[in-house]
Amino acid sequence: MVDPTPMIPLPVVEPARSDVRQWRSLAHLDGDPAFAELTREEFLPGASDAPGESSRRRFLQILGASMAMAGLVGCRKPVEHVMPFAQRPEDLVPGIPVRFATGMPLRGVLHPVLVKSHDGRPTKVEGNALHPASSGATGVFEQASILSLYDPDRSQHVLRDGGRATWEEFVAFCGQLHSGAAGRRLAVLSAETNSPTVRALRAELQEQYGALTWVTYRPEGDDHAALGMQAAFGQPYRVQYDFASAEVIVSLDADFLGPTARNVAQATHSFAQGRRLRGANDEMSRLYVAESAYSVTGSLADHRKRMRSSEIPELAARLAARLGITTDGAGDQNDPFVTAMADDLLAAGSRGIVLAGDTQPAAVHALCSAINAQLGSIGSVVTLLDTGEEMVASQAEELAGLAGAMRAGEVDALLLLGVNPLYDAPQALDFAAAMSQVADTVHVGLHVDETASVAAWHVPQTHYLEAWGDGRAYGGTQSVVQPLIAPLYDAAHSAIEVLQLLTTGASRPGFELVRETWRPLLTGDFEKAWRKVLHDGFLPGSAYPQASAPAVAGFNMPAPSSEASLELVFRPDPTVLCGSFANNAWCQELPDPITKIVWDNVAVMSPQTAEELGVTTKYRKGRYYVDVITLSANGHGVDLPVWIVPGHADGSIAVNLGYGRAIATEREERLTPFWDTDDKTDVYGNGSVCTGVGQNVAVLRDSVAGPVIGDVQVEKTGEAYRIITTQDHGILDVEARPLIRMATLSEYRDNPGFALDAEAPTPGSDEKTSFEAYPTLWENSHPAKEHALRDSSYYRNQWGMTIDLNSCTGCGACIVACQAENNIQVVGKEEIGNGRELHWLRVDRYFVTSGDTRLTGDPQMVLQPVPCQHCENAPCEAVCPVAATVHSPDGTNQMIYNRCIGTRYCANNCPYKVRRFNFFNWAKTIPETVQMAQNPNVSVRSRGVMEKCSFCIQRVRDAQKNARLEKRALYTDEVQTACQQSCAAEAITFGDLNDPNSAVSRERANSRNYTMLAELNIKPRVSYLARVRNPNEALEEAS
Amino acid sequence: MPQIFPRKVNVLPHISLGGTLAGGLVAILVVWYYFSPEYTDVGYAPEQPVPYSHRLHVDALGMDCRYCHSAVEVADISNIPATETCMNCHSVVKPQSLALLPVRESFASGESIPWVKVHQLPDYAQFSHAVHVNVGVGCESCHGRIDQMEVVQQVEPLSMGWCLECHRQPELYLREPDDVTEMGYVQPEDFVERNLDRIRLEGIQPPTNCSACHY
Repeated sequence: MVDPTPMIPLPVVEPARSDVRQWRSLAHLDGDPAFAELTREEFLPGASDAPGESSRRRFLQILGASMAMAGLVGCRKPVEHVMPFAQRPEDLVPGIPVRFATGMPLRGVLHPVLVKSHDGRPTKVEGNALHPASSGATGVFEQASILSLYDPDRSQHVLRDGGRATWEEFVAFCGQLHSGAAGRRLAVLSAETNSPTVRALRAELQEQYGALTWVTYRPEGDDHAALGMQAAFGQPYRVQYDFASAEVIVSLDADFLGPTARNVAQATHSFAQGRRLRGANDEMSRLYVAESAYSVTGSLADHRKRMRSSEIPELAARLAARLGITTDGAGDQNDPFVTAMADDLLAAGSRGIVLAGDTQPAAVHALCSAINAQLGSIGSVVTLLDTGEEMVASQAEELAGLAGAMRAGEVDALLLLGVNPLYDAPQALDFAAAMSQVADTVHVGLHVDETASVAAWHVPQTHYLEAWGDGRAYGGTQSVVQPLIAPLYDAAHSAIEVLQLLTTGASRPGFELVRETWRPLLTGDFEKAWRKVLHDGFLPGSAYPQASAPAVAGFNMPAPSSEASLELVFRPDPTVLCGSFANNAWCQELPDPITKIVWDNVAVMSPQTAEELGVTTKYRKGRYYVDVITLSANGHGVDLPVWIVPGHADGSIAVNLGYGRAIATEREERLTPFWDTDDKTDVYGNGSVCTGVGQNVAVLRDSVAGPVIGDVQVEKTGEAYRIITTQDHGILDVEARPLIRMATLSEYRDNPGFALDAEAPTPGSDEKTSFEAYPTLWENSHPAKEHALRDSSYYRNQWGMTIDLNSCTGCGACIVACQAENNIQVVGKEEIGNGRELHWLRVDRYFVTSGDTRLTGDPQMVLQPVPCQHCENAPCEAVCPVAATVHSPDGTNQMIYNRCIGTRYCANNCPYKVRRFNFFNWAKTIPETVQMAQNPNVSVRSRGVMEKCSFCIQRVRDAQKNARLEKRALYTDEVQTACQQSCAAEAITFGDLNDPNSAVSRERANSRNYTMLAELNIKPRVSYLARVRNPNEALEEAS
Repeated sequence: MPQIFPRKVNVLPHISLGGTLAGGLVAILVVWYYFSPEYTDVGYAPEQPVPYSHRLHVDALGMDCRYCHSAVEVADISNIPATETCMNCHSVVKPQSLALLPVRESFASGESIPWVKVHQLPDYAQFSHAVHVNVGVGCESCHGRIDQMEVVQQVEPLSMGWCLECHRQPELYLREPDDVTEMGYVQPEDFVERNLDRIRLEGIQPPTNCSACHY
């Protein structure tokens, strides 16, 4: 029997501090009327329109036509084949996934990973938790690398002068080249690598050829950190920071937590450790950031100073002067920011860290080392690693030297290994002209890219999951890269195979080459040791040695900043790097962590700079139309749309590299009959994935590819451009509801329960009691109380999740991990603009300001990942007419795709806006290779079906199945969701709420624990741990 | 002016009403039966690339299911054997047989034999052989008397309603785990009591919630 339930008025929440405002975008802050509607509506306006230019009427016509046609094809039963092995490899059971430890080489660092293979197809990348330098987490690019393997636009054939050739012909060519090697001058332009095998082959090449020029090429320009270390210590030491033990961290334009950082997973893990608050008495580190563009690191700063990148050397000098390291460059000694940093650093002593970013010249890096040495933190929280590298020369000089030699005809053969200088080398070098002066040019790469199209030979390169190789982690630990799959294309060969071909003139498999290198590295029985290395994924004890007590040599003071009124800063893009992930649809679709822009690059500036330049971003009915400007520098001009980010430094424009790529593809444009509109929504439909996405800003760089240039002209073109950003998507009424709760450390210590205090009192009580224990509206008739659910064996586990806002950096690795695990389809730029994106997990980015400091002030930033909240009293379940979204006995809310008829009532009733609808049949149009990336344990959804975060129920069911077979209960914390596993900050905790020992139960007991929209009494299973900042009170008062 | 419609036309509405109702009923019944897996799937017996006879191998020769379908106890899928498994015997038994040519070819070339899948579950239904077999669901319960089949055919509808028959009352269908591969199994007299005991003891609770199989 159902008891009549009395009407309970919904509680009204009074904002605790009315002067603090949280907002998504300037239009939101200004109270644009469109936002009221956006907040109310389920999807963006236009989400229900048909694709392309057509109207709803046309859509219905098409619908009718396709229904009629569907009747004709639906009658036949499809014949499926089972293809067993002819000879089954031992220990390989069909249907049971196998994990292999390998390593992903990326920008000169090997990332230890564990890759899951389903019946021979690699489907998912995780971190290798066994590896000493890995916590088992990954960054965005490790997760996305699976899709790069299956990239349908990968180069498939050896090309000679643009025409198809065979590998055998290339072998013959290399034989000829090698036969006269002693008299030949060979140049190699190689991507960064630290592979021991490449190093060995390089030494051999040196012996074989008359002259060898080897240039390591970084698209983003000089390695300022290495040059700085060289200046400070006489050796290009690699620096490793222990953020976990640090008390004070000062970042000078260093985005060390951003996705583009070289060891982001390790740094994020370490940083989050130092900020974890299990209780009010825990200590947390303090982070100062001075930077031009708002970055992931800046969003976590306790104190952030926005200033132009070209002014930061001066700040470094003032800080050094304040700390008594130098006497010159003192400048204004009364800057409270510098004083506060200096005082804090002095107090922290050997637990202080100062680090500089890639945009800063080598001198600033050297100065940071001097400061760290002075503080005594070198050897304590700053470790110098001796990579064994000889002195690094300036890449700009080496590259210019190479180009000069090529032009002068002093190079007979040029090998380009995984690099694309025609796209990103400084224009002043005119690399194309230089290449034309070289008799034999060989390009080895994953794509037929800009450089491949002018090289005499192009050899398709293997993906790291297809070929043998080796490398060293950031800390030096050596690993073998073992393939999980044979090359998808027969012509593809690895870099070491091509190098070996040039060395000896004969082709040998990479497997033998790697084993040869490793023979002297392993002691004892080689086969046994080799198998152990392959199994574990690394060679223990092979890390770089620590540099012993190095003395800081003299350093040059940073040159004073230029007086130009406007600076232009180039950065690798946080989602596509310098273009190497441009053809990866997951990366293109991943919103930029700060601007939330997808499938584009923009010129980012502050509101003030925009005003001075007379450019605007207009917001009309949920759409952004922005001015386009022509940026001119170094004799080149690029048209870029403008984007305004509050908190950006005035007088600075930030642009991201990696866009405007030209990759040739062999796929033909997909054309479908008139009734089939799927081609309109297909990101793979027309040309390569990156076709027409963004502009190449690398051409604006000066002759040394410096990250900051001062001499830039800006002109408005008068055109308007529609920018697609997800910053306002899924917007909730943040003004009226405390979705984000934050406090300073001292406030937290005074009142550990501040997060719950923001909540409305529960009705019928004046006390602030939690809604957690409040009776539900259907206390006696809740589905979870039904016998059918209680009698299930699943009932004993009740799943829940906590997300620590204090740890989350918003890097986006979780989004890509979720996409890879759950077969989430890519919808493309236009469709995201229509609000049809499918990401199950979104990371909401809020600016936080207090008082009236709208444009001139420095807004803080908070990031909040929002998956499905798995409400116990889920509003979606109550409105589904076909019971396609139901509660499971283990307390999760599940979508049953085969029942869903697409009414979308559930999404309309979801207060968190986490439900995603398949407006089109995205999966139908994905190319065959991309189909191989799909997880066989998760249904691929079709058109007309709702979907949303499932708490990775397939992983839960898998674990339960295994426990059942092993006749045991689930272990504590046995199941990890994909987002949790990828999160380096360990911000996401998932587990069994019924198990008091589970991590999630402990996290929930944290005093910062709160749930979003608790006052609706829907009892979400996802809770958040409130954000705590640790500001310097002296500085807080001064400002 | 004469009436356009004579009086006897008055029965037409009744006939058409009755016809619509009857027609609707027939349509429902037609869809009910002819669109159901009972009709569309049961009896599906595609021709295989090799005319493999389960009757010969299982019934006459007495081979255990798990000799070939070796992963059934550990994996979600019950594997079709590798060509190698066939060749274990057929390298000496009937090595010249014409019917076995595809097998020998496959073994020599390393290419798979393209067996045709008989029991097809939809992609949105997740099923684990290992869990079922280990708890005592007989092969026969879903696949029928395989040992009597010259050509394998589907005998059960494999529809959700059919799955739930057992998931709701497992005591009527379970057998001792040791007997799962037995064909023509006859349940002992007191099997319901014995199964109920096992269900209590081993905590066998076949789930009936959606997300047990659909995700």
